[in-house]
Amino acid sequence: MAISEPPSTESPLPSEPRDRAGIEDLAAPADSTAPPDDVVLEVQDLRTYFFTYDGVVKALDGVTFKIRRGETTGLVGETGCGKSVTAFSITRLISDPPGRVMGGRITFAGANLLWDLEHEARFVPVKGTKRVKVKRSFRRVMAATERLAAVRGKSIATIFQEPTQAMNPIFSIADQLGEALLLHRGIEIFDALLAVTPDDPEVPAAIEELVTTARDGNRERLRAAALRVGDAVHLPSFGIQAFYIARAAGTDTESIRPDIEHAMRRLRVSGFQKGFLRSQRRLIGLQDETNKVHMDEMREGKSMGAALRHIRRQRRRERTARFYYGVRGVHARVNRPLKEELFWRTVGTLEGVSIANPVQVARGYPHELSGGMLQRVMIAMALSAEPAILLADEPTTALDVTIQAQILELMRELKHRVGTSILLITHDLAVIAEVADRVCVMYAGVIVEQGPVRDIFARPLHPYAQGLLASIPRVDQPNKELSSIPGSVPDLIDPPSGCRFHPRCPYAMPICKETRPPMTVEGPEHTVACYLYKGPVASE
Amino acid sequence: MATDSSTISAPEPVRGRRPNPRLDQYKRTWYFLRRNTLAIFGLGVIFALVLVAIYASTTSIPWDGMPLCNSTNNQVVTFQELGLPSGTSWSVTMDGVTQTSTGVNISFSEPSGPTYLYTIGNVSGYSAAPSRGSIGVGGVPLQVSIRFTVAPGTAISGRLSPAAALVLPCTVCTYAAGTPSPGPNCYQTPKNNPSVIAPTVSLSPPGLGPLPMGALTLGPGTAYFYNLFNGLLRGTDYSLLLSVSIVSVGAMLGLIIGAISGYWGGVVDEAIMRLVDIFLSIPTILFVIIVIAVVTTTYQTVLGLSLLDTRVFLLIGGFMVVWWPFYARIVRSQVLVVREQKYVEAARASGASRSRIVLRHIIPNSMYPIFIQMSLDVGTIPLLTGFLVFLGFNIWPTPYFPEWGTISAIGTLNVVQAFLGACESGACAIPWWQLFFPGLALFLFAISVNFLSDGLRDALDPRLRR
Repeated sequence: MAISEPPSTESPLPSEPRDRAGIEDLAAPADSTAPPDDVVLEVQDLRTYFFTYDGVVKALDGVTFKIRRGETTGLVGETGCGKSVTAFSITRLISDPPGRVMGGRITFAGANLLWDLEHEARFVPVKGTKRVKVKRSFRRVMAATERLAAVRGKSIATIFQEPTQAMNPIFSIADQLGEALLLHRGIEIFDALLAVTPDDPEVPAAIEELVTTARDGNRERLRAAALRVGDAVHLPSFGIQAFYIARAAGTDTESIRPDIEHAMRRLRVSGFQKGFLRSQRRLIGLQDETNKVHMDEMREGKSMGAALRHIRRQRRRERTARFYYGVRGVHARVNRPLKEELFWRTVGTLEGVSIANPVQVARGYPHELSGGMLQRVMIAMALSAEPAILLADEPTTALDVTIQAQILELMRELKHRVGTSILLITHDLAVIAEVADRVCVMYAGVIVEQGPVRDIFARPLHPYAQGLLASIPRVDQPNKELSSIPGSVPDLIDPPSGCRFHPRCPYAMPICKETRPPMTVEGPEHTVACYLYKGPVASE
Repeated sequence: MATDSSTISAPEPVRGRRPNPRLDQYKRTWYFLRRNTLAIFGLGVIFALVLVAIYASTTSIPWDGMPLCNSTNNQVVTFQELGLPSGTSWSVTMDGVTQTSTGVNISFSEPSGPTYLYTIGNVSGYSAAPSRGSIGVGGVPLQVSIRFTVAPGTAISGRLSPAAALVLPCTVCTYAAGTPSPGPNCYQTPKNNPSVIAPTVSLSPPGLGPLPMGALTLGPGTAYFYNLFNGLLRGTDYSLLLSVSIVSVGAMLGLIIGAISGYWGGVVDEAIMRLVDIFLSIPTILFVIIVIAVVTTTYQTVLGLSLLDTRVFLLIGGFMVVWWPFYARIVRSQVLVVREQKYVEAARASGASRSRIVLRHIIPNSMYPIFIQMSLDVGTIPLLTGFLVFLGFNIWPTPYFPEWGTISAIGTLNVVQAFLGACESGACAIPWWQLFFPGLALFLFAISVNFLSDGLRDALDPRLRR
């Protein structure tokens, strides 16, 4: 590796030209079977190193894979093989220091998320040790962080292993989910709030219908009637509120009308509140514009400082205006319509992830919920932006088996509803077999085999994949002794030469020690990196 | 407690009249606070103290200088020299009149009522203690002892010198036992024996005189005592102002600086923390003494403030400068923990901006230790000001300032003097009330703040609610 050598003119980063390939150019030659625009995310030769005192840990050393639209890609491997690092490297959530994405190309929607990476830091080896000093350019690292905020959450969302720790303990669920909604669906929310029509002529009839339906007691019809009230005032979340008002009234149907009318009185947004909402909306709009410019930067491979500065100036002006509203509006409670709207939208979102009592859950705090409930909330939060990709880092590991099944079912359902692709990271092969469409098997920072899930489970090619599958207990072979792969994951500071699996491989050959095997095609979409197979080298 | 879908049964009624969420939160906080008896006790005491402070600062409570006896108009003020070789000429100037004598005493006859300034004339080779001062002339003859020493002593304040305290005017209120009290402002000495250090130790223990908490006596040279109860009342606002302003501004500074340091890390962290080390190495008391001494001797007042306000300002400013580093350290350590939490990473992953992460996720979660430290510090500040006074450092433009720390320091001094003097000479009467009541006020204040902040923390932190 270049960085452990004395400083030379050679950059430790890949000398890959920064071309401006669009999504079609990249996808077309690599894949002949699928339509080219099917690929949402393409990761090529991704390398992530950790600069520790003992030396440079090459956690990812050339990871290449694709995620297709609407597909679930599973990433399996032993602990410490770099599964999570792969996921976090995509949106660069690797904590830096010590970690750094070193090179490669991550193409998302035609933009290279790793654009300008080579200018972010210089690497100076420390003489006499294996250590390498990283000299970061503060300005460029900051710029990269800001650029990637355009993708994080909005296009590529992440959910974590321990849901109990992934939520802020001191804010209620409604606060946090509402914040995510405001961040990602802000424009929509403000437009809805500004278009409220409490005086619509249809409203009394809708309420009348709701009261009648409540007497009749059918939950489905009650729901529909309540949503019609929401339609009448042109605020969908009000329909949800009306539903819960009607449900809380129970048999006392006469109290529904005054309660709803009271709630509706609060929908009347004053001129001052409207000004505040418009100001907020403009701010969110400017934020979206910034994100667009950042995407353009990454797409075209050049920085657009002037455009960004222009937007930043506007934002500053707008923030001053909002500050004025904030100060003047303490007594007018300018924020109240927004808070109400966010609360009821949160309730709606929680219903969407099959939470039985969304109102109480929305008011609750993270510590009051069980792990399974929290993971649902996390999923709701991640999907509130309708992202193109969901990176799920062992989403079910901390949950018990029955809840696991529910969460997986939920993810599958939402994938169909929202059309999100999922990168599912787990060491649980049963989970992979259950939900994944494609599987990538990782070993020591490289992907050794990938292919359709059925193919991999039926016919694992790489000795490591075979070992993994052989170490699962099987119902159909009760008396068979469980096998395990001898040895352990190698030290990634000095990884084995050639194929990284060769010290543990039962079929190791002399060539395995010398060069790393290329990815060869061994079936439709099934590729493997092993010298045992002589198929054509996969074109990447 | 985990509440899974199965354990929550009946849905809470959701009426259209859902209260304002923020109001709801206040209500909930109040509900949890109300269940905490100690917190309510603390809240009550603090509320009462604030009321007292408002009352005391808007009305003029007579707390200072009452003459010991109300008798005839003109009173004799006698200055007595100690330590000069006999025959040496010395002089006293009082109320514009200078008298010179080679004897031991110089006497003036002055009308009762006002307070007079006096200056001792220079005697070459000697320094006088006190060399100048003020004396309130009341209903009794007064005697002031002036001690001349060869070496120039530290002329901080005559009243605080224990040596001077032992030489006391013994001309006060000599009434036979059983005779009725001569007036509301005149109090009997113990056993009616004026020959010991009567005014210092004996003035009306609580419950005996008309003063509910007894008197605060201010040492020799003044035939005045101070109403301890009224003094404590009067001092409430200054005490509260000092503690609350120093602690809150210090905490605010520490919060901002510590959060920056902890979140940015690297060079910024290193620089800020070394700066904090430098500030921590400054001794608090010494720094405040130096600030006040230097500024008030160079410029009498600053920023157009009055003499008193200048002192208050300097005291607050001086303490603030040395106070924030403690908070900065606490906050930094907490931020270092919080920034590694999963929820901060989750916020980053969902595209939150840096300012949003710091303001919404890191700072709110790093604040609890600060509350605890603040509640502990609030009680310390008056003690420190009292400590300054006890050291003999005049932080106030007037020697007897109604501030709890100052009062308790004077009380402590009197108790110490009583031990040193009276107990030796056989008439041991310790003026315990002069130490007890100011100490009680400080204790009540500090413990109330502690209880309240503890209760508030429990009520506000959703994790601690039961």
